[in-house]
Amino acid sequence: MARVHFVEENRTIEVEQGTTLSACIRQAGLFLETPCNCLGLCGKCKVLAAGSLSEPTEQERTYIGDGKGVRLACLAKVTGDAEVRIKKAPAELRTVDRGYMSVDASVEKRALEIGSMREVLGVAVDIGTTGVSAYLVDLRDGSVLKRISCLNPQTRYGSDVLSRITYCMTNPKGLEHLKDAIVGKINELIGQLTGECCREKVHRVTITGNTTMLHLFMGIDPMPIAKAPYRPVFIDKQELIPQCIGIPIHPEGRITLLPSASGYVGADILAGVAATSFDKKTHAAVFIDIGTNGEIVAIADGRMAATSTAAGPALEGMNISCGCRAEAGAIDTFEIDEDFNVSYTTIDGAAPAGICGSGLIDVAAAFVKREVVLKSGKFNPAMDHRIRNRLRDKAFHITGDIAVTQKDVRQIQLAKGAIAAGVSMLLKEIGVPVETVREAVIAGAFGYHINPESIKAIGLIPKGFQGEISFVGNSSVEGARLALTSSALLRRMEALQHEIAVIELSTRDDFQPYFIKELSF
Amino acid sequence: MDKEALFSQISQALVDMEENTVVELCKKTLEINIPAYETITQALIPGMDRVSRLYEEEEYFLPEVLICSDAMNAGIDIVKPHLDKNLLEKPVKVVIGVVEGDTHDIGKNLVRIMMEAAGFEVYDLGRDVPLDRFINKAEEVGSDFIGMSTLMTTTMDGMKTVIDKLKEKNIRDKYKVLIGGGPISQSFADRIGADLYTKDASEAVRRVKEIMGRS
Repeated sequence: MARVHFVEENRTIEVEQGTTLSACIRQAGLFLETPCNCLGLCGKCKVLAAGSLSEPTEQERTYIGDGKGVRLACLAKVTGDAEVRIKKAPAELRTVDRGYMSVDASVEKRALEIGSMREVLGVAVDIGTTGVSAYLVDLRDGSVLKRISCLNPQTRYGSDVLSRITYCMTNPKGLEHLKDAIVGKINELIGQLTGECCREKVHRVTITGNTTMLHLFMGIDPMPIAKAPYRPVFIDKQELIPQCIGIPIHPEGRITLLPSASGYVGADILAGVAATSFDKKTHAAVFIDIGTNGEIVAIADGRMAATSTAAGPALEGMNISCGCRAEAGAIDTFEIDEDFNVSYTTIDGAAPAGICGSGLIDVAAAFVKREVVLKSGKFNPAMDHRIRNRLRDKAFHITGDIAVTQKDVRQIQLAKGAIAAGVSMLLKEIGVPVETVREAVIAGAFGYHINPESIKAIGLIPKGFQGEISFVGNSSVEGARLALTSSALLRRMEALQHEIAVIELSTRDDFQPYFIKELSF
Repeated sequence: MDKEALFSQISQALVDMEENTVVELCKKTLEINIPAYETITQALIPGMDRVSRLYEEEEYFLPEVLICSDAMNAGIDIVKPHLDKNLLEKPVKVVIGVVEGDTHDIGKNLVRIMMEAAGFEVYDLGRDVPLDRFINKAEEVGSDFIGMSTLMTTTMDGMKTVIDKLKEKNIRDKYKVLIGGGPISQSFADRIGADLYTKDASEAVRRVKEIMGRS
């Protein structure tokens, strides 16, 4: 046995020799994000470690360089006693806590009254793969009393749905861990929203999220979603008894899981479509939730089709050499002006530490606009001389250590190509050319921070699009809120299950030509 | 025009994605009686080798590779009817596919295209391929390699199953197993006992050639 001491937490555990540091961290009950679920591919689980450890493999070395004491938790193994320091996880996730609809000025005032109220309360929850958002709602008039959001605690088991499902498949208690993590977190959020004192005043909870998140919440094995033909165990609305699922609210209260359309077009998308009345649009429009699985809905003449694309996490700043989450120090906007001056901003104005998704899309847009890259995505050998000195070793340097490499540009191309190809194919499915699309609705907390001009510049929506881009923020939680008080909206979502034709792109032979075409800028 | 100059023009036109020029120049080789075999092995394949290198160096991306491979195939189509089959060396045979449970096949398609461009005989089983089919097809055609790909972490273990089945049947040594795809890494390859992992299509072709002593 080996002793592993966690310095910051002053905790020591005993493990078998050969245990990876990430397994030690989990065993100690500590938190470390492992975006790729310990496959040794993302390089994001760096820790400081000393003592008796395995020699870094070549694979590990590509991420840690010669950094003194820095190790990848998922690859480094303890061979004897060791000391570990974990980088502090961001306490909060920057997100949008507001829907696009009413942001009532009365929120603050009403929040103060909660302690003494006799109201009948409801809670609307959106379980995102990355973040969880919850609203406390007065069921008498549907008004929002309080909003709260946090990181999904399941991120420690992988950043995307596939790595979570893999965790379930490879760990006997994996499903239980993931279920307990999210149920526990929702309980905690309800406690925070109600101040614990009036939990019993909550009569109704509506829960939305992608299909995998809803399976995990129910403790139902989501494995079938992750293998062709990608069929979920359930998609229909579920009415649950609070005691049975372990979320104590009013004893006669109800918990409703909203309906999904398919394994990859979940309740979050149906909720967003219903909440924004996207299904009532009389002009041709597309609804896009940008993320690892970019979901898209298209509408024209009352016909609707939806799909999801394996865009990967590049647009969220992952799989990118200097990519990071939207946390303090992340470059979140970027510009190269006509005179080729480079400027950027960082979150909280902190010293630049990396580039988050919105910054990355700005970078790509600026590259296209100022011909730093060619249409093919390759760095332009004839780029303007005023910025050419920033290109060193096939990387464009924004600061001394923060750079965007040719490979990063390729990752952005793959992600935007997947989404653009999805949009093209859906439009073909409902029989309208992209030129006639008048509106692109960008949903999701992540998309909210993106500059619309940059979306157009990189061709995230296929070339030829001349419509408006609008942002609706987290329309999923907004749908859950509306479903708390409106049975009509709930029925609307159930109708959408049948009205939206879901297409699985990866099984279609014409996906490849569409994808290849949309790779270029 | 002498042969060498013509060959280097064909290679260059291929790298420059000029399919029509490749076709015209290949017709010219026939007019001046250059053996088809030489045009393929000394002009078209070297051209595609350069494309592979450019891809590996991130100069070229998927669209360029596909356009170049189309240009190459157009050239091959011109000279192939005149090919003396006896001159060809026994090609490297590869059975390839996306493992059961996964339908994402663009990466696998790129590997197939680059292998074909290198003159390999490729049996493409497609996507969502039942695991036994890899083995059955390899046995049927007597392939040198079994190549498996996946984009999804949830289906990676299928690769191990294929290797285990090869062992069970006592035919593990008959084949080299090549794996690749987004979630695959060298450490995974080591763990399941695959012979070769490469991070991209171009490297796959190069390493297979090395193993077969064709480089």
